[in-house]
Amino acid sequence: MLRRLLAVVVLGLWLDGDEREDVLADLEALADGVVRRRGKLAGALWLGRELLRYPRFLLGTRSPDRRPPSPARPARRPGLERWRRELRYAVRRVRRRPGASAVIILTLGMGIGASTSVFSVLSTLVLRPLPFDEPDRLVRVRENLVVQSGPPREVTMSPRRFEILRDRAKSFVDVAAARYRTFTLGGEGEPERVVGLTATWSHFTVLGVGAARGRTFTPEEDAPGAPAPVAVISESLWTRRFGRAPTAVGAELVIDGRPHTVIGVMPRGFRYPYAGEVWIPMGIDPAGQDYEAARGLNVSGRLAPGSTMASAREELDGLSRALARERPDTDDRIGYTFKTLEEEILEGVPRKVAALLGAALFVLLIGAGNVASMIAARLHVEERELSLQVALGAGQGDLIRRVVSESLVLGFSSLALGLGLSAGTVGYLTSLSPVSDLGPYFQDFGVDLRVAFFGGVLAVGAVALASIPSLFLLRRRGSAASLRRVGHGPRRMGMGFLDLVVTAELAVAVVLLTGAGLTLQSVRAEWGIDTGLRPEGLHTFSVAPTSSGYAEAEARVAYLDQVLANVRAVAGVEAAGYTNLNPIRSQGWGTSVLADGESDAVPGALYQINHRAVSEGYFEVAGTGITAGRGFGPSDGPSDPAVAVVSRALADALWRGEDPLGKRLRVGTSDGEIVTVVGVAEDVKELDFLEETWYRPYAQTPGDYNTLVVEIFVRSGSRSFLPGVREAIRAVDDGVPVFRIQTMEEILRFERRVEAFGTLLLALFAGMGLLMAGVGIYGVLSYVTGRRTREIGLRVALGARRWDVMREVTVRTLGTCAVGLAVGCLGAAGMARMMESLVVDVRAFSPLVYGSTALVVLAMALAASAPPTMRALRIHPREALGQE
Amino acid sequence: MGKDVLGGFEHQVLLAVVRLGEAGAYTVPVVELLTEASGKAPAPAAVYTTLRRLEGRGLLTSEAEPSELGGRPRRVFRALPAGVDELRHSRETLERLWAELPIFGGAEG
Repeated sequence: MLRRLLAVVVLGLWLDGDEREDVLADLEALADGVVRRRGKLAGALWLGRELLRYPRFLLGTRSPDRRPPSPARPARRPGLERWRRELRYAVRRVRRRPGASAVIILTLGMGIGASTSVFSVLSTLVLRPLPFDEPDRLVRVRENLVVQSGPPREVTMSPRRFEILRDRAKSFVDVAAARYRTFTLGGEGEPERVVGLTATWSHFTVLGVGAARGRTFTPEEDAPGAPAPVAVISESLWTRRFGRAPTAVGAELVIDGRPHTVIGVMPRGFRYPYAGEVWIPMGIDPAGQDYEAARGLNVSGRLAPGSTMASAREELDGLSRALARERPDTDDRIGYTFKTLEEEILEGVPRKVAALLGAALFVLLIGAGNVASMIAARLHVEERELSLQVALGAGQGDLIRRVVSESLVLGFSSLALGLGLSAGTVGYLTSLSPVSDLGPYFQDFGVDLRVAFFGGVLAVGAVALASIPSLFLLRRRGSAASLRRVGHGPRRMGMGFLDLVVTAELAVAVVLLTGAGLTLQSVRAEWGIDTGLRPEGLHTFSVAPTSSGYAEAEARVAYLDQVLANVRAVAGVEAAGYTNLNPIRSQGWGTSVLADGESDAVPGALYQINHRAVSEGYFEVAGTGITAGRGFGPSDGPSDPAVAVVSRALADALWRGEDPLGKRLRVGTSDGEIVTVVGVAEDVKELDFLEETWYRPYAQTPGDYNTLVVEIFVRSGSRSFLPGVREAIRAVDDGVPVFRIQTMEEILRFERRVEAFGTLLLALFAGMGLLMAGVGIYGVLSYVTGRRTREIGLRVALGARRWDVMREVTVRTLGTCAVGLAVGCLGAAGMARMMESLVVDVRAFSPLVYGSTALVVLAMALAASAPPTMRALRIHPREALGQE
Repeated sequence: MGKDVLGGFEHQVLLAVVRLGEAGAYTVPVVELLTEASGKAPAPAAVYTTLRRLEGRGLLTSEAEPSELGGRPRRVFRALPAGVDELRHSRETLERLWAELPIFGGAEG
C-alpha cells in the first residue's frame, strides 16, 4: 500500500498507471532477490533507493550513456505536455536549492503528518461500525434519577425495573442485562481472580454476537435456581486455562467454589459492557433481596423493526410516567433514558480527537504561512531570471504555471513525507494512547487510502494557500515597465504581504498556545492538587474472600480484621486499613439516604450518594482528614449503634451550616434504618462520581455483592516490604486470592491517561506551531532586513545612530506582533467558547493563560528578529553601498 | 539504422533483448542477464529508461501481453530488424577498432 503510494508520488509525473505498475512489479520482483540474500530491511531500503532513481533517469539528468531521452510517446495534448515540462523544471529548481526546499518540505510534511495521524484515528472511530450485529439499532438504557440539586443523574438499573422494561416496552425486540462481577477461579495452583459478568441469556442475542465455540445460555439455564450451573468464557481465558483445547467446551470450571460447565467460548474482542472473561447466567429472582433495591444492571436493547430512537424515547417516557402513577412511593423520581451504544462506547472520544485534529491543522496552517512567505521571497530573489523570461516573451500564463508547478512539487514531496511520518507513528501513538482501550472494537488504525486522500487534500490546500499570494504578486508586476526597475530594491514590493503572513502566523500560534494553555489549566484544575487523599507512599492490595467459607458477613469481617492485624505487624508498614471501593478508580456504588424526619414522598428529599464501607483506621491511612468528630474505631462493631462519617459536601447539602455531628440519616425510605453521623471527612475529589459520600464501618454494612472485594490500603515509604505484606495476607487464608497490587500513584496515572495523553499531544502541537511561527518570523525578517541592507548602510553612513535604526526595526517588529497578538487573542477567545461547549470543561477567560501566551509569543518574535537586525547593523556602510 | 551511435549500455541492453528473443524482455530478466554477464547489477531505472529510449528510436517494439499467471498484462519488448542491424553495425565497428589493438589479442572474425 505504502509502496504503491510512494510509486505514484515519485513516478506520477512521468509515467501513466500501467507503466507505473510495470515499474513497481519489476522492482518488487528484484527486491525479493535482495530480501532473500540480505534480509527484509535491506530489501525495503534497496527498493526505496532504486525507485528514487527513476526520476533522474527519466529526466535525463542522469543516463547510463549521458544522453537526453527521446520522448517515449508523442504528447497527447500540448497543454498537458507544457505542464509536464514545467513540472520537470520545477523538480530541478527544487533540487537546486536543497536547503530551502528541505525546510519547506519538512515544515509542511510535519503539519501533514500530524494531521493525517490524528485523522486516521478519527476516521477509524467514526466510520467503522462496532463489531455487533446492526450496531446502529442498539441502545444502552439507564435510569434517570431526580436528585435534590442539579440535573437528573443517569444510573444503572435494578432487576425489578429491568423486568418491567423487558415486559412492557414494545420498542425493543428484546432487552438484556449484564452486571459487573469478579470471580475466583479454583482448580490447581493459586486461585485466580478474574473480572466477569452475570448476564441474562438475551445479552448475547441482543448484541447479536454468538459463541465462537459451543453456545451461549438458554432461557432455562438463566432461570433462578437453575440446577446445572453453566459458564461462557472469553477467548483469553480459553487460551490461558485450557490451552485453546477444543475439549474446553464441556469441561468443568470451579467458579467461587462451585463447579460450572463451560458451554461456550466467545470470540476475541467481545467485551461489552466490560472486558470480562467469564459470563454466568444472572437468573433474576423476584424473591431475591437485591430485586428492588440494588442497582448495577447494565441494560442494552435492540430497537424493534419500525421503531426509531424518537418513538422509543416517547414510549419510555410514557412508561416512566405510568410507573410513577402505579408506585409513587418508589418510582416517581426515576425514569428510563437511553442513548445509542455508539455514544456509550465512544464517550465523546471522537469529539476530543476532532479537537486535536483542529490543533494539528493549525500547525499545518502556520507551515503553509512559512511556505507562502518563502515562495514569495524567492520570487524576489529570482527577479532577474523572471524579467529575462518576460523579456523573451514569457506570458502571464507561463509565470503562473511556474509558481503552481513548483508548489505542486513541494506539496507532493511534503505529502510523501507526511504520510511516511504518520504510517511510522500512528501505530505507536495509538498503542500508547487511551484509544488503545477501544482497540478490540477498532483494529488497524493506520494509513489507508482514505487517510492518504485526506493528506492529499491537505497538501493541495496548503500549497494552494501558500502559492496564491505569489500569484497575486506576479499579476501586479506583469507589465514590462515595472520589470525594468527590477534589481534596484523596490523595497515596498511584497513587504505588506510578508507582514500579513507574519501577522497571520502569530495569530494562529496564539490561538494554538492559548488552546493548549486553557486545556492544561483545566486538566490541572481537574486533577486538583488536593484530591483529598495522599497518594504518595500508598499501596493497595485487593482481596476477595468469596469462597463458600465466607458466605456470612461475620466470617468476612473476621478474616479482614485478621488480615489487618497481620499487615500492621509487617516491618515498614506505617498504617493500614481497607475499603470496599477505591475512591480514585472509576467505579461507584451508590445508595439513597434522607435526613431523619423528612418524608421520602417529598420530591428530591431522597439523596443519591456514594457509599463506602471502610475499616477502622481507614481515614488515617488514606490521608483523608477528619475535620469534625471522629473516624471509625474498634467500638463500631456489628452490634454497636449504626454510625457514619459524611463528606463535607454531603454535610453542606443536607444541613447547610448546622453542625452535622449527631444528626440522623435514614437509608432508602422514611422508615429505613437510622444511622447517626459521628464525623465529617474532607471531600475526596473522585473521578466521574459524586462528592456527596458517606462512609460506614465495614462491619455494619450488610452483605452486598459490592462489598465482596476489598482493597487493603497500606502506607509505607518503601516498596521493599511488599512481598512481606502479601505473605502476611496469604498467611490468614491462602485460598483467598490477592490481586491488583498497585501504588495509588499508578492508579491515578492510569485514570488520568486520557487527559494526559490528549494534553501532551496538544502541547506538542502548540510547541510545533510556536517553533514554526518563530522560523517564519526569522525568515521573513532576514529577508526584509537583507533587502534593506543598502538603505540601512546608507543611513548609518549619513550619520544615523545604530540605536535609532535598531529601534525602528524593533518597533516595526513589535507593531506586527501586536496586531498578530490582538487578532490571535480574539480568535482564541472564540475558540475557547467553542471548546467550552464541545470538549472539556475549560474556563474561557483566564488572564494567566492569555498573559503568558502573549509574553511567550512576544519573546519568541523578538528572539527571532534579533539575529537579522544585528546582522544588518554590523555591515559596514562601504560594504552596503558596494552591494550594487 | 538509427542516426545515433549505440552507447555502451544501450548495446548491452539491446543484446540482452535479442538474446531473450521471442519470450520477450522486460526490466527483470534484462537486469538478471546483465548481472550474470558482468558480475555487476545495473540500476533497474537505467534498464527501464534504456528500453524505452531504444523503443523511441525504433530499435525495439513493445506490446502489453497477458501474464502467464493470469495477472495484470505487462509490457514486454522485442527487437525489431532495425535493432538487429544496429547491433551488427555496432559490433563491426567495435571489432574493427579492436583489430587495430593487437596487444589485446585482436579479433579473428
